[in-house]
Amino acid sequence: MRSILLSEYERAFKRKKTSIGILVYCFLLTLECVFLYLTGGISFYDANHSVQLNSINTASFFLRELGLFINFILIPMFVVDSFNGEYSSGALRLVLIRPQKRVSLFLAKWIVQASLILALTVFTWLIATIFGQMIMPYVSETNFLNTESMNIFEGLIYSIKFYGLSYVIFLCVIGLSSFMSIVMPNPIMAYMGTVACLIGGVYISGQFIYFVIVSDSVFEVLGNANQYGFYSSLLFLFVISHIMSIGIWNRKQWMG
Amino acid sequence: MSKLLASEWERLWKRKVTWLMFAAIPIMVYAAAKYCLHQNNNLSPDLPQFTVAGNFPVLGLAEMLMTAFNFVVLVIAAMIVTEEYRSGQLRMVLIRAHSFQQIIIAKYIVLAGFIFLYLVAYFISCYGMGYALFSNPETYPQFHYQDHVTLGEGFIYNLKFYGLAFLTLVAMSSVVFFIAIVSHTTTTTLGIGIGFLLISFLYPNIIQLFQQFLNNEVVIKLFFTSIPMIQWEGLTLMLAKSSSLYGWMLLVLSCYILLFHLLIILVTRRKSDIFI
Amino acid sequence: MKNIVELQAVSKKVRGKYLVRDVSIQVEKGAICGLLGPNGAGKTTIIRMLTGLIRPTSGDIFINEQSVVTNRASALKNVGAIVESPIFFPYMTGRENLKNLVRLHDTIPKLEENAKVAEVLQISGLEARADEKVRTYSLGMKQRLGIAQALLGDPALLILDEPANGLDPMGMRELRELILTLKNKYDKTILLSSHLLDEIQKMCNQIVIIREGELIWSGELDDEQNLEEVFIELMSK
Repeated sequence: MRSILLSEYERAFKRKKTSIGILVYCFLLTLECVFLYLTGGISFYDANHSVQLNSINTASFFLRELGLFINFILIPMFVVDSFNGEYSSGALRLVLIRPQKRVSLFLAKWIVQASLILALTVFTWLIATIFGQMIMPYVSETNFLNTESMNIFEGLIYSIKFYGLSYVIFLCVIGLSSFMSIVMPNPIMAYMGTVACLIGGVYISGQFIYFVIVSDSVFEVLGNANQYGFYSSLLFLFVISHIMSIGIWNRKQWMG
Repeated sequence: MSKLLASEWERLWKRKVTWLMFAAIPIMVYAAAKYCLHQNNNLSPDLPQFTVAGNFPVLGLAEMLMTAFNFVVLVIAAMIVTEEYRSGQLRMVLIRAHSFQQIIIAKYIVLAGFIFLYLVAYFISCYGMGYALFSNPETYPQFHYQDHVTLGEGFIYNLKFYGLAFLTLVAMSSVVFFIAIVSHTTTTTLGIGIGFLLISFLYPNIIQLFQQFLNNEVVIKLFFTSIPMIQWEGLTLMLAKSSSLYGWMLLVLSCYILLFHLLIILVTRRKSDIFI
Repeated sequence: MKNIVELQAVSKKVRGKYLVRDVSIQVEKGAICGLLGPNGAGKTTIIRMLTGLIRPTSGDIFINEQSVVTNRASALKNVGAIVESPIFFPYMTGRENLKNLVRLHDTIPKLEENAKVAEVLQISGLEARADEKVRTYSLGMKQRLGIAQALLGDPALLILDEPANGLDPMGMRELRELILTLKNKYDKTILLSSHLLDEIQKMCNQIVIIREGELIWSGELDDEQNLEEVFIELMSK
């Protein structure tokens, strides 16, 4: 498995798009810092609740805008290139004819995507936390949406939970996008299918708004609201999309 | 040129995705209707936001225009430009003695034709769905109008609205075509295109935060430099009886079209001989 | 001698239409077997089934006595292949492509990977241009790189789908010499598909002809027989 992973990582990072995507993300992260600084540290829990940013609570607000970029651009682009682009170009045949289990090849692709997004999430958390502590007005206590007052340490734990839950949402988007990549005949339709799922979900149930505005839903859940719907829908999507992807991947007839 | 156009047009309709997008129209209209019905519960019928059969074509388009319609334009451009160009399929057209620029112009016209048909189909579906799901009073309030309008007046208004919507999508096509030509893969085209849309959604909201430093007119003008914002709120303002922003938004849209066409000409001029 | 490839009554049906029907083929160890047939006869479908990309609707396929259908991963340890046109990851150089793929062979120890890549580059005669991006390669060079990647796992069996496509006459001659070297010096068994009768006759000691998905002739030619005449006679029947 280690060597399959290595081969997969190598291909991902040899694509210029991967490094450019990451660079653009870092640029946007910087922009987010500048933006929060210029607006005088005002952000929003949701459309109705604005909030004054301070040294403790700032970190969590970074994903308001960056989450959109991750869900609609980075994940679909990377996942579709890996799961569908290689197949529709024909180059995946080179990999499929090696003496390796199909499911290992799938897992390797999945791990590469999941770890890449994990690294970006952790990096964002780190930068956001440092930015908050250094630039934003110092406070010894603060509270978040519907929470008790928290000190620095509790606030840190809160932000870790916040990024953790956001990461679970990202994993679901990876699941959806890989499923679309496996069932769709070409990258355009796979990308289109992913975006249609993310947006269309909102029309099916307001619950899925977390794909569009990651942070609002997570603030809500961490404020002890709507937890059941949030966790169950995410778990359901995560399990279903991955089971279907692996099932179809293993049985797929590689005609093209 | 007309033969080239015909062949491009034919190839567009040979694709499943094209038909799929047309098939999505009823679903989109239904989703929009569901949303409007939901909104109606919290609105008084004497507000222009209250949906009736006569204004559903406009209210049902506003939100879809800046999301789904822009996305449809993006997908078609990725398909007919990036995919055909980068996979080498265009070679078959190019060896039949057309320049790369001619092909791009033909594709642009084909896309505009597609958008036109798409809007017509959406318009008709909206009227159908509107009469089926909403009440149908003889007159109803209209955005930025003092008096109620009749169904006939409303119809003319709706037509104008769709005409302007077409113009915004043509402007969007210019941007997207440029992206599609310079991108090496279709996923890049879609990624950058969606990035352009996201930025166009976000920056006008950021500008609003600076209202205290700038005067109101500048903020509004800057707000309406974004195509999706023109699509979302600008079109009704353009159609208001006394609109000071009509000229501004037309200017913005023409600037997008001119600027990106210029860029396209610049990159395609250098590109005509690099077919590998 | 034992058979390295064995297709037992293999059929492949897609949407109610047979692409391959009831085909049985045996290839002996050390043979160069030519798979012949007009365009669309089912050659590539057979090769796809042999390499486990698609599963037969019925019948079974054995490579070195391991079933590709039920035991794909271990059966493929003995196989190197070019399936259809040689397509690579265009954003990497030839050498990088090979290095990337050699990792997928557990039988090659990590420390020997670079040596293996160098070896297959040398065998396929690509050393000089190995460090250029694949998107700059000509079709002929991609064919060579295709053979190079097929050799990575030290397979006993090489399956080459239309390896002569896109080669100029010199290239074809070099390919022929390369294939003969692989058989004689490296002891490989080779199954290759082609529609170039002349090439097949010059190289192969066993020939299988298929038409419309069915096996219509298989065996060896003696020196007096002309493959082209045999083929045309079979096709006009």
